[in-house]
Amino acid sequence: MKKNNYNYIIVAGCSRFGAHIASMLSAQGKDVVALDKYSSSFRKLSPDYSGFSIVADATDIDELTRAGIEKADVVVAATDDDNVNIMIAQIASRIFNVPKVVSRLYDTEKEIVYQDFNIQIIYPSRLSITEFEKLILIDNMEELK
Amino acid sequence: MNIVMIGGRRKIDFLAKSLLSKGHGVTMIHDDEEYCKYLSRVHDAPVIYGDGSKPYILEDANVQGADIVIALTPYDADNLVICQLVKKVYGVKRVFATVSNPKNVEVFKKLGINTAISATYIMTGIIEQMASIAEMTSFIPIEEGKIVVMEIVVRDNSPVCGKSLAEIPIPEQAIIGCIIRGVNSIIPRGKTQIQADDKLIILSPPKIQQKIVKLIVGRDDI
Repeated sequence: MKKNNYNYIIVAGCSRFGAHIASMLSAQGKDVVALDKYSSSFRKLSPDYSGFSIVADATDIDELTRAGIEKADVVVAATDDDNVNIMIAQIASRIFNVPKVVSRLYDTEKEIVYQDFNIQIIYPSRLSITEFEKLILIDNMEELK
Repeated sequence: MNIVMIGGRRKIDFLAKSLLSKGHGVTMIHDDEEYCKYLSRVHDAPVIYGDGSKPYILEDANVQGADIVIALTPYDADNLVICQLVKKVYGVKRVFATVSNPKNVEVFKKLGINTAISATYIMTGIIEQMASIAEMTSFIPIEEGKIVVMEIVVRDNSPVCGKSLAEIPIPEQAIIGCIIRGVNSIIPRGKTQIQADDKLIILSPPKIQQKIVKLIVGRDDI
């Protein structure tokens, strides 16, 4: 596996997406902290997840500090709410100067609010479209045979 | 002025009434259909049903032509995104947001929104002040509390009652800006005498506020 320097990772929002990332990174031996407003969300973490899970509102700067955001290398904003992700990502990047911030964003119309921020964005809608195009392309190629 | 307001229940209702009565153009956006029906029934102004943090809903409300946008939703994250969209995409100069978490006043400022208002924060300050001094009838912090306006009633047992302004050792940083006497308001000069039941409007930094209260009320039980 490729080595990188990202060792302390905060995953804000234990959605399917967030839980999977947290579990994956934890399996790779990273220090992971998963945050969610509801403790029931943590059931989505894999059984051998060995990181922390904290019930917290990840838009609250005190809770983020408690989760150790000051020493975090990566923050992933993975809640189901675009606006909450935007707020978390901006706080992580601008206020706590986290070197790498990744945010999920469903509504591509809102990407402009990330202008002037050093934040990487994952667009589930665009990824689905790309995937769909690939599938269609394969079907078309089969027809051509 | 054209004002667009988003979300909030009592707040949007009350603000709409007040702004419309002053002749402003008001457009409201709310994400509760029933409440939208109520708003459009009560107010003579356009009401748009939808999520105000979505650009196409904001465009429906003609936000690009707005002078002021006020975000009143109960979720701080929604208000932040509304304010940022409105500023960045539509170039609206004046945006206001309410925040429910008082700590977010600072957070919003760091993220480029300088005008977040926390009702909890303001109310706590006012209640603390008014509850501690019976004579203080109003208390308004200005510029995040760098300076405060107080309204203090003078009782007949007050040490300043019957004195002229020149005789009262008011600290230099503060000023008695106005005296409300019955229905009249007086801009006091040095010779103006303070009488019982006068209301003094005082401007002071919070540092010496206690000193002034003591000077006028005669005790300081803050």
